[in-house]
Amino acid sequence: MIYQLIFGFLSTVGFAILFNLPKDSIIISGLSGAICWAGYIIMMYIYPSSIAATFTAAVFIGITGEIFARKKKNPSTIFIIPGIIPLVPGVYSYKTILAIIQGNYTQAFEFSLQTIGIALAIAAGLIFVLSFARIKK
Amino acid sequence: MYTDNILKLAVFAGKIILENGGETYRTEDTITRMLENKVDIVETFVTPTGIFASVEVDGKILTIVRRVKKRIIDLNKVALVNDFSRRFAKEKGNNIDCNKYMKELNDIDKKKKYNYYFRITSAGIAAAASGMMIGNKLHDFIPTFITAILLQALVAYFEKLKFSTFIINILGGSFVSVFAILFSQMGIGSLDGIIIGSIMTLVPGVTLTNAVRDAISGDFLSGVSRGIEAVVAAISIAVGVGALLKIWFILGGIL
Repeated sequence: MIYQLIFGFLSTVGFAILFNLPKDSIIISGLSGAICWAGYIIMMYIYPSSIAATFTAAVFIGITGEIFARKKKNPSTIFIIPGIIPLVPGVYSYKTILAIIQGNYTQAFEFSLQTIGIALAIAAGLIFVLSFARIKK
Repeated sequence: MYTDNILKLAVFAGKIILENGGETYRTEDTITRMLENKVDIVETFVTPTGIFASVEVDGKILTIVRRVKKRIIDLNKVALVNDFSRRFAKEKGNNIDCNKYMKELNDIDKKKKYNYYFRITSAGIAAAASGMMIGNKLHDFIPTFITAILLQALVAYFEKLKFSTFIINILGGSFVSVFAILFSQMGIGSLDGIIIGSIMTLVPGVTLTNAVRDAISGDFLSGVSRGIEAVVAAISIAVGVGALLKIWFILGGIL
């Protein structure tokens, strides 16, 4: 669990540098990445569905992003984007490609549904938080 | 003449935001915020590929249309321009020193990214760590790290040659597959793990996030077009990875 959180932190910081975040925001976005990944792991423990877990993680990253954005007076996108990238369904889209080139279409369909489900879960989680954030302004 | 200058200034600020990975609605907000207390009416219409802005002062109407072709991700510039526009919005009256502000915007526009080697190394860390998050084993870490560094160097080189994103993604995907096959044949790491980790730096995460944010703020045109951009990027990565794996299987390779 601790290892997972460290990796969550590291990968968010890596993407933050790649996307050229301001220097003082890199560590903070790493923290929000770790918090979001904690949400993912806890949800996976309660109810093992990667779609539900991704939704929870997206909600977490949205909330922390908005809070840090208010504190640091930076646009919230800056904290949300690096944290969202590790959630993107790379595993399932890879499995879909693999199933297609092996001619295993039933499996490919199943995996592509998972891929779309996760992508929609990210979108839904973000919409959920950001619509509330816009009201508060 | 004065109105010309502040309109140019505001649209230039908007252009920097749109080019460097800001959302469409943020571009519109920025231009409106900078101009609303200086002119009678300000209207903007922004899509991911262009900015249209029009102002009215004492019955005279001025309009600017700017095409935006470059699209990269540099969130530092978005933050700087955001800060800049808030400062500019506080200025009132008819005697603002436009040259000073224009110079500041030019400086922001010319700002460099972090050091090249620092960036490709952090791409390696990002890819290897996010691979570990989604279930890679520890022996995948090093090969994923190396593959992602080389991939990022390749992508940076192709971007300098002004290749289209579609081609870059196809070539990047096949590059990753080649290295994953090499490493897994040498017995370092697993094929799945290396590919899954390394393609994380190619996936269209920013486009996806921006598509969602644009759609929420009622900007459905931008939401849909950015959504299509994300889908095209995902398909091109899949083509690159899939084609190479298929060739490998035809040649008699195994997982």
